[in-house]
Amino acid sequence: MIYDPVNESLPRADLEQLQIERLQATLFRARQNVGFYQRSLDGDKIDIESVRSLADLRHLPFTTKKDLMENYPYGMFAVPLHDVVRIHSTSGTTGKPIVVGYTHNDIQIWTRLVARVLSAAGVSSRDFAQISFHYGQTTAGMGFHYGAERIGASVIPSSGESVSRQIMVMRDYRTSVLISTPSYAMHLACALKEQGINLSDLALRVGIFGAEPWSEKMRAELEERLGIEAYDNYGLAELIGPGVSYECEMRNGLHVSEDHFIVEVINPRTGESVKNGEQGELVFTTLTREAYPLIRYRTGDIACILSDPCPCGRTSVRMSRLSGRTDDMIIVEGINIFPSQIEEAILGIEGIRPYFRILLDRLADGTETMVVQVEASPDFPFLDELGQVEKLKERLERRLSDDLGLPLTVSLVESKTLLSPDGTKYKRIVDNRNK
Amino acid sequence: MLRVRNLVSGYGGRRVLKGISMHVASGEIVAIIGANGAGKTTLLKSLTGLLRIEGGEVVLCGTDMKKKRTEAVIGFGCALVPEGRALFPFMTVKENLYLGAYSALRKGKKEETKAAFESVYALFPRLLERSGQYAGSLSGGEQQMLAIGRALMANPSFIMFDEPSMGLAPLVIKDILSNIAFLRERGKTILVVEQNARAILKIADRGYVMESGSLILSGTSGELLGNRDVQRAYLGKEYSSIAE
Repeated sequence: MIYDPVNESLPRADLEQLQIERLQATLFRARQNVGFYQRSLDGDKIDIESVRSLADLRHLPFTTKKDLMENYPYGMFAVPLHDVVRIHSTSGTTGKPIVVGYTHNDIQIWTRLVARVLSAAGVSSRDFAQISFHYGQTTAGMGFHYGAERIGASVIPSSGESVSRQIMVMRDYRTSVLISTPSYAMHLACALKEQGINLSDLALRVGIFGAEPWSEKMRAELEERLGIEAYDNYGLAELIGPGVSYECEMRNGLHVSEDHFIVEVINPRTGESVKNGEQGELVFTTLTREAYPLIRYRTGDIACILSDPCPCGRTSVRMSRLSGRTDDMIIVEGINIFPSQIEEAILGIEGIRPYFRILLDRLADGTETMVVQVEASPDFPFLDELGQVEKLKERLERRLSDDLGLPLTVSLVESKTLLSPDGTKYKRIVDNRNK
Repeated sequence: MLRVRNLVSGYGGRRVLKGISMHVASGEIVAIIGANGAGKTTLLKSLTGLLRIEGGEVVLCGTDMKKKRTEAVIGFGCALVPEGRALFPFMTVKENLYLGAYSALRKGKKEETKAAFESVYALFPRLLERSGQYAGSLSGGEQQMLAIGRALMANPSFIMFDEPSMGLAPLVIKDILSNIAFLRERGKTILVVEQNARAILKIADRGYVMESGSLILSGTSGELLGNRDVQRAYLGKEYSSIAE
């Protein structure tokens, strides 16, 4: 179902008109109200009145995560703090958190954008939506909560509960929609199996997953294990939170809410735009954010733009599912590797759980080494036998070496050693090469 | 209906509009709010061909209006209700209305003109009562009704209003605005330039905020009414009252 048929299906000419109007207003306000943009635009002698088309946007400088961190906490706000009604921030694992403000209107728009995500996945007022994202400083929990309420679903905010309680809620409250990270959904799926709970005991039918890249294989596995249709969506706190792009029933890419964001894809090394269909780094410009406008924000996420029409009737361009992040990309012996490639390779192999960690090191002679730790499955019957373990290890090594194109070692570790007890995100890469 | 892209215009060498992009869809009421001197009237003059456009595009019903003269703009079903009404004070109400149908009468469209009179008198019965009176002797509200009525005589599909509430008492403003809303119900598309943001946003679907010749904000009326910059600058609210 299309939540906002008028704005999600605008003829392209009307959409582009709306984008240029909103872009010009955004540039004006950002230049007028945000010190960072005053300095960067004036420093580069850029006259914002000369931005006359969407193509002109390409001449403006990028905004980077570093810029946002350097303006911690409120330096990027475009409105007085009196006007800010909500503050979210990123986790800040790689430095200072990025602090993002929302006005009343920003919250209203955000809520409608998340309602689009949910409606596109077929979620309606008849559904029970169990939200297992954290409700905290990060945006996913609150974002989905408000959006699900907007479409009238019965919202079950089960964030922070133990796995056993999540499963109890899922079964007893008749959860029909699970909203979480894909890795947490997999964690719940594994726990369901361990507890011997059958799918027929559950009312689950849809999964809305996001906040980390996940492969088609992971989707297939989640759909089978949970008896659901799994939908991807994309968003990040800097832009607004969930609601930036989302899959429709065709599941052929994520529709970008282009009436609120302009999307570009660039070559992360040169900064030049790439053609539609070519992979690169996603760059977004906000069009309606009042408190936190961003111009050409480099997300670090890797995807491509799909501009062929979608049979669902929405007219927005789509972005491919994320294949990784520029800062997740590791270069080992000159070969570019994304963790998602490893996930893709190991999913579906019997005897392991779909969790892994990459350990990188350097030998005394300078050679780089890569060890992939993979969690063994607790229910694999032969793991007690050394020969079987060796066979599984060799199989994984062969598969990964072939797929990645470099020699590596696989180490099988006990179940539940990589994932934190609450099943939330975990560190996938440990790089000791320069220590 | 109307699509404006990067419109640049001004007076002499002075550039007033610095690249305006906006649109009005068929059947909408769109408001442009802004302080004195923001460029609102210049925008309407540029759209109606009264002021030469220096750059950008103005497309009305699919036709580029950039180099069209005012008569041609009227021919495309546009009408302007100007700031200060611009009535002929020593002509009667009826004569002023006749002037609105000048173009139709020249083309011999007598029946259409008769129908236009009937529809204007139906909308503003007061004008029928005062039809023989000099326009200059009418009250401010009645003069505004006459200015609107005169614009309606050409049976336009797109009507632009320049400060319709200017100089009127609050109760009269309410009447005039409800008439504008009624015109939309009758299928007209409306663009209103107005300083009285609170009043106009109550009837408009969407709005733009204009400052120093640029549109700096756009949104639905609800969004603009909820924007605190707009509340402070155009709705006369201070921090303390906003918080209440």
